[in-house]
Amino acid sequence: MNKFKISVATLFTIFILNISVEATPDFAVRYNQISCTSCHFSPVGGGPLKRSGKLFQTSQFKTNPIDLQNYLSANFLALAYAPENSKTSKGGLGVMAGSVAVHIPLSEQKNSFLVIENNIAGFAAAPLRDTYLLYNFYKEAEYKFFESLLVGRFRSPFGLISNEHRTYTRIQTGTRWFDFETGVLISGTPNSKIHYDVALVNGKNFSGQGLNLGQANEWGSIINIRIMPSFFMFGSSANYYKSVQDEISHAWSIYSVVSLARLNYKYFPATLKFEYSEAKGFNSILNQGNASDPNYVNSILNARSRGLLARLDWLISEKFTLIYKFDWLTPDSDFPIDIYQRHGFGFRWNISPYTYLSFRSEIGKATHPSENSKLGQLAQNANFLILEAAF
Amino acid sequence: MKIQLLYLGLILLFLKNTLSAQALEKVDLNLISSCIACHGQDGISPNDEWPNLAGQKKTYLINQLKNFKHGQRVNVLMTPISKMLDEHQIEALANYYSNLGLDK
Repeated sequence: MNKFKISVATLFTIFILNISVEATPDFAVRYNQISCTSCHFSPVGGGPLKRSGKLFQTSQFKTNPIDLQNYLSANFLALAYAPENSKTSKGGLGVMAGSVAVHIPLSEQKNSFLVIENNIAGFAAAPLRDTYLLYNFYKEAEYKFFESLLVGRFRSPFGLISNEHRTYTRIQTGTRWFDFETGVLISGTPNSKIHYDVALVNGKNFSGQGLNLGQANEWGSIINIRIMPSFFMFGSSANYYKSVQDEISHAWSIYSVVSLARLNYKYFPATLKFEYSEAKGFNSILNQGNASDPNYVNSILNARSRGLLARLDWLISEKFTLIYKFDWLTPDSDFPIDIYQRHGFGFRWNISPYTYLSFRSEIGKATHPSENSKLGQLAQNANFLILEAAF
Repeated sequence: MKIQLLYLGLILLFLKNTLSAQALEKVDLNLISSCIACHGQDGISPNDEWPNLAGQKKTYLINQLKNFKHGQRVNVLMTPISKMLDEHQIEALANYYSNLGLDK
């Protein structure tokens, strides 16, 4: 069966089952959930949802998850992309991901799990996604310094984890939604206000998963800490990799989520998110269809980049959110005049318990002489529509 | 022109939210906004696995919220949410939900 048929079958199955989606830091802060494991199997967040997460996601539509969903999850992501200059940065329709996940409890106490998620359709950037053995040291909802041990392949516990599709801070640090790490992750939630993740990773290449220049080749380490004293959350992350070509690459990030909805839902049903990141050694990612001039990118491969994200999500209702996003990147901090910048306006609409539609119109700007003709993906104005369905 | 339209949109948005919030009623919307997501706008749970709150006994609601808050009862979602509430808010919520729907 070819990828198109698999994609159609996945989409059809998802709609037949009437399935759901959405999990963001917005909810975590609004409902005082310092640990992502309230809803997700992975302490990093993202990936397959636990029963509690699926119940929460479907609650706005008065739908019960079916029993099969205790063991099985799926995710389908389609993109319609319309750049201003379609000759150099191709637009059109595409299937970004069509993944299936199984999550099996390995003990009667349900404190250890095997999770396997494979991307069987869509572009091949990450065929193998969240795939790990997870052991929880705690009973549900207890706070422990050692919360869980995860061994396998997982999303990097770095920076502001969200379902944001296009963010400079994710690109510049090699932590996009389809970048995964392989190694060991220890997480803990000592109390209701603090959470940490520490990971040791080994980024050896394996079939179908090429490494970015900045990713760990021999070894790497990642640390992430966040605190949530009230209606706001602060976090900080750092990574340090011995990477391909024997270079050291590293990055750090500070981020914050402010739930105005938790503070005053009546007048400000909104969430503000901020992130500032610096990175060194990850700029080769700009050559993956992002920048228009490879010579420019090659000249700044090991430069230190700076990125900024600011985003406002305003709830019109629990199902419809207006979005404004500001995005800014200096690929080489020695030349701060060379920047990429984007303003994005759009919405996110949960159209069924298991499906959402997200639209964004972005106004881009780039100042480097090789980029300011607005040919590269990062530089130009674009509209895009995302359909995600998952259960 | 585009900027003016944007301002107009934001003003309409603010008014829309304000009016719909006022329509909801006298109860502290900020307080119940944490409950609505899981237990329904009208206190009737949207699924079979979470309880209805509308018309529930006041003392029972107070006891359960306190049990969650102090760890005598644990639930992955409710434990953190109950820690946001102080004694007065627990009392107010229990009062609101125990009376909800009884006059219909």
